[in-house]
Amino acid sequence: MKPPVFEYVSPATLDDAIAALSAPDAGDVKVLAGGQSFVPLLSLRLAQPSLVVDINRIDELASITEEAGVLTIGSLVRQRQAEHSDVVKKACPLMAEALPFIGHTAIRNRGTIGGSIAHADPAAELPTVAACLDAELVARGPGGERTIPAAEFFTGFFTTALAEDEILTAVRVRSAGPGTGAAYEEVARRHGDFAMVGVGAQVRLDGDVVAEARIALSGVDIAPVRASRAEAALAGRTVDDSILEEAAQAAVADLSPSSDLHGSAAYRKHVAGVLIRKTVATAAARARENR
Amino acid sequence: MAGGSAISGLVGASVHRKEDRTILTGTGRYIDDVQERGMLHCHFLRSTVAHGRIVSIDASAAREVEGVVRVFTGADMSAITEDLSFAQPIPGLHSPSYPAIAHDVVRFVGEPVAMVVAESRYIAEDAAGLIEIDIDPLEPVMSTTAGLADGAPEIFGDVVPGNVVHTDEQLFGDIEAAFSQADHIVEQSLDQHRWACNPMETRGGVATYETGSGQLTYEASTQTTHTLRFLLAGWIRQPIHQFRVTANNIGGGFGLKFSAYREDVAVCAAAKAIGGSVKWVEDRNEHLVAAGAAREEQLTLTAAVKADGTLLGLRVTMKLDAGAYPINPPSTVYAGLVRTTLPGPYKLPAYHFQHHIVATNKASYISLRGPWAVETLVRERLMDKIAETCGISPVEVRNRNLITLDDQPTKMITNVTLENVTAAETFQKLVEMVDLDEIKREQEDARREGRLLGFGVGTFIEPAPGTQEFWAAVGFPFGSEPCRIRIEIDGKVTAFTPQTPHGQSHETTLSQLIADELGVGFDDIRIVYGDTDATPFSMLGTGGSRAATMASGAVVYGSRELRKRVLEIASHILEASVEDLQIADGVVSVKGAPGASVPMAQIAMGCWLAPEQMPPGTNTEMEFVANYDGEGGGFSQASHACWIEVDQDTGKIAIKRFLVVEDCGKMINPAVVEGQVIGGIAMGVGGMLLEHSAYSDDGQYLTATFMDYLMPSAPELPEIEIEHLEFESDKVVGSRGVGEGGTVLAPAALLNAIDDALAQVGRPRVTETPITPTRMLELLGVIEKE
Ligand SMILES: Cc1cc2nc3c(=O)[nH]c(=O)nc-3n(C[C@H](O)[C@H](O)[C@H](O)COP(=O)(O)OP(=O)(O)OC[C@H]3O[C@@H](n4cnc5c(N)ncnc54)[C@H](O)[C@@H]3O)c2cc1C
Repeated sequence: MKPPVFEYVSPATLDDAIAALSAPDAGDVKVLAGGQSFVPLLSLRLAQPSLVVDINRIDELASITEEAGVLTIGSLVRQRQAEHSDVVKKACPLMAEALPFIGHTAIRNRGTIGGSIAHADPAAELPTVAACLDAELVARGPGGERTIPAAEFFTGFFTTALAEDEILTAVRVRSAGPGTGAAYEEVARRHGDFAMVGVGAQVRLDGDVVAEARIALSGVDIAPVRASRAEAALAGRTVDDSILEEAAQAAVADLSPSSDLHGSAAYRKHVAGVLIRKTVATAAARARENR
Repeated sequence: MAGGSAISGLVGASVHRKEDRTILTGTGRYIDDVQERGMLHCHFLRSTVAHGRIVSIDASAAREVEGVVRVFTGADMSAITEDLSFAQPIPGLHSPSYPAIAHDVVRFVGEPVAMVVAESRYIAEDAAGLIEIDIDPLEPVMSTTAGLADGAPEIFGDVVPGNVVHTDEQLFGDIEAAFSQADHIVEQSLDQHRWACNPMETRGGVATYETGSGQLTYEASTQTTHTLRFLLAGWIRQPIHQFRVTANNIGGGFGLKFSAYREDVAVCAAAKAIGGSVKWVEDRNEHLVAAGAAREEQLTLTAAVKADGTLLGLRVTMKLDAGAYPINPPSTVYAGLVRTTLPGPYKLPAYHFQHHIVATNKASYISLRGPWAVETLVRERLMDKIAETCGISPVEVRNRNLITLDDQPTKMITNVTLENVTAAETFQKLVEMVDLDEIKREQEDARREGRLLGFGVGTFIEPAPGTQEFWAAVGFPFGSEPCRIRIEIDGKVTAFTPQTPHGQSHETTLSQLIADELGVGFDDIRIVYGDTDATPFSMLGTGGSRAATMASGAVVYGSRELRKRVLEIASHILEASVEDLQIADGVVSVKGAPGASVPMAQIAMGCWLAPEQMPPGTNTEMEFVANYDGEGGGFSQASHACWIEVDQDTGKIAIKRFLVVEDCGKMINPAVVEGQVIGGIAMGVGGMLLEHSAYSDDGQYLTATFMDYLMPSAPELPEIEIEHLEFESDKVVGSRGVGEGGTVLAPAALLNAIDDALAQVGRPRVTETPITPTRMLELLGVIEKE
């Protein structure tokens, strides 16, 4: 469990980092952020890069701002920092709810928002939050900056739309307004483990009626899954047990998770339904309080 | 405490651990801390095929890598070593010998196929990646059922015919009569999964060969330096008098580090061949894949019982999945332990036990904290099923069958005398501490709210250390325990124990005993362990929960002998009779006349420097080797109660409360006892709910990192409440071991609680472990089994 040989640079600016990533002789290059996923991959030799570009010194990637109803979280913001941010709690309650489920405090102290999203583990919380909220992922490469909608970003098992020489610089979400409530729940084998199934839900109420429901699931496919049929089932309805059941069934019918040692496919489907009922009910209750 | 240890206060107190300063300040010496001059590092290339024939291996590219010193293929290694053999004159035991590095057939994923020695571990791993090996796959045998099937591939050919390593049956009492008198026949079976020791420090060692003297030193992470030395010496062709095995801090063992392994052979042989120092530290990935795992057994019990729940007879069959390669001890010991212990603290008039130990294409079956534990698990679950069948409570069924102190001495049906066994008394106390009616009410209330609670109990006896008869029945020696104690020239004390403590706090507990016996300060005592050049021989090192009785006894007797010598000399100097003398804080004085005193340091200095000037006729040897026979040995015992809540939506099990009533006799240090109990229960709970050393059907290993092999962590564990009974025997040393019992009994109480919850909703009992959330929802009938 010792990493193979690689070159290492730690540029202080984003421009220098992109230059290093896109140098013609760079070979197989990898970005190092918090290292909580990448360093284990190196030690297991599942990653064997020729060059590692450490972005931890790039301060411009480490800020949280809210402007004109848009929350922007720099990719290098530590998960723990976002978890404690009042701005995040208010503008993106779903993320604030989801963050404590990531590993343990020590991991969140190092792990970054961007690292988790770029890593794109299908069981991870932040990609699920991004998918749920239709976040915009901002990427910079040698050709400049582009914005990738979450629906196009997560392309498969640990794979994203990022090019090899691009750096994820920020995550943008529309700020949650009044009448919005969010909930995140997951089931893992132990405290801090990756979820077998996780569900994020955000509900906006208009009076007692659901104006908009957003639901995304982790752990049930090769990438985060939006429960579109459940969302549609909820829209325009009042949240009660029967509509929750209907939404859960609609969502679960579309799922075909795989089985592993930690949970069977049947288990994941069942728990997905349970968590959808639970999170949507909680999100709706919170939306009511937040009018 | 009866018996008469001369107690001046430390024994029985929760004295702070001597070990902690070193461990907590990070100044210990674990294997990875060891640095020798010119030390090289090694890495093992391991088979990725479960069963196959090695067609070719080409290490030429690896040998070219800069920094690589030597590459050993199986053939290279076999040229300088003997095959490992654990064969013993046990009738019917088929124990194949095997090379340190495979050169012919591989039999499990993780088996070493080459070893690279290089200037760094990094380079060794780089080079290992360049070794080309071609293995022709053979059909793997991945379960006892597959191994015993007609026409199954014989993984050791005719060395282990039919893959049966050992089979035997033993009959005690009149089993036919028992069954013919039965009102009920109660059957219970369990298929227990593999789980592993996973000490914080993995296996490893540093071997250093001095080419001038021909001396080899192996500093290892081992539970037993002397056994490692005598096993390895022959295999690596090293004269034993030129071979020293040492151990310093040891980051846990749990039974794993009782054997010598093929990697130990390879590391020592490589150091000899190269003429230098070679380090191997097993990484976690290797550890999970290759170090071996425990507990994979399938048992079926059939009990003959009377209508009132009284046991008449019991038939048991066991299949044990031994993995591929035998280690120490031979697997017959495990079968013997299960067979001998299974009747437990219950009256059982007739008993039949049959076992099959089966070779499969997995890493070795190894010892794990209470290696016999499945006997308690199946017996305690059977008791609950008998209760249900007879319409009585789990408490009542135990009360009707338990052997109480009044019944003793008595013999178990397996010919083991029970004396001073208080399992029934711990159970009684446990029952007094819980309100069974209240538990029933809470369960009913919870069910009305749609919640599901469960409650389970269990009781057992633990051979800690066991008795002569017990070990004879098992088929393993029960040696006496030595200790060498020395009063140094300044009156301070050094004791040399063959124990190799790796979490058991022997430096603390043995010091407490010596301090009380000799009247010297706790800090003026040092315990030396883990050095075959210094410590007296014992085959057992630390294992089998022997130390509380055996090592304690050795230091008590050793201290008493030295005390006698000191007092005799002092009686001349102080002109007082021995009976009138006392020792406190290292000073001998006349009772009631504190002015008349002589420091032990003065006596010791005289004895060491000028023995001829000491009072004539006195024994001036300030060093003594005591041997303690255990005074017949004995058992520990405990009863557990476990409260759970089952989440019927997610299948998750929360342990709400866990209560222990234990009796390990006189507690030397209650904090140490409680630490062992809590740690043991954590391990037992983890084993049932989380830990799984899993293989796919084609023999791939599935849980090779801590992402998949799930150790219990603090949030998964309840607060554990402990009540102590301290039975006072008339033995000099009334202390019994307590390190393994938590792991043995907790699974039974937990599974009984789960079965209780299932019964409340009309669902069948658990028959297979681990109890994952998926399995729990399957048992509840919420989801289909795949
Ligand atoms: C014990 C443990 C438990 C964990 N539990 C969870 C959990 O429950 N849920 C969970 O989601 N995660 C969990 N993790 C993973 C953790 O959250 C990581 O922090 C996260 O996945 C990656 O963030 P990082 O900053 O550490 O990224 P790194 O590990 O540094 O990088 C991860 C990957 O993303 C790439 N990358 C990182 N930043 C960028 C960027 N700005 N632009 C482009 N590519 C980039 C890297 O090249 C690498 O491929 C756990 C980790 C551990 C060790």
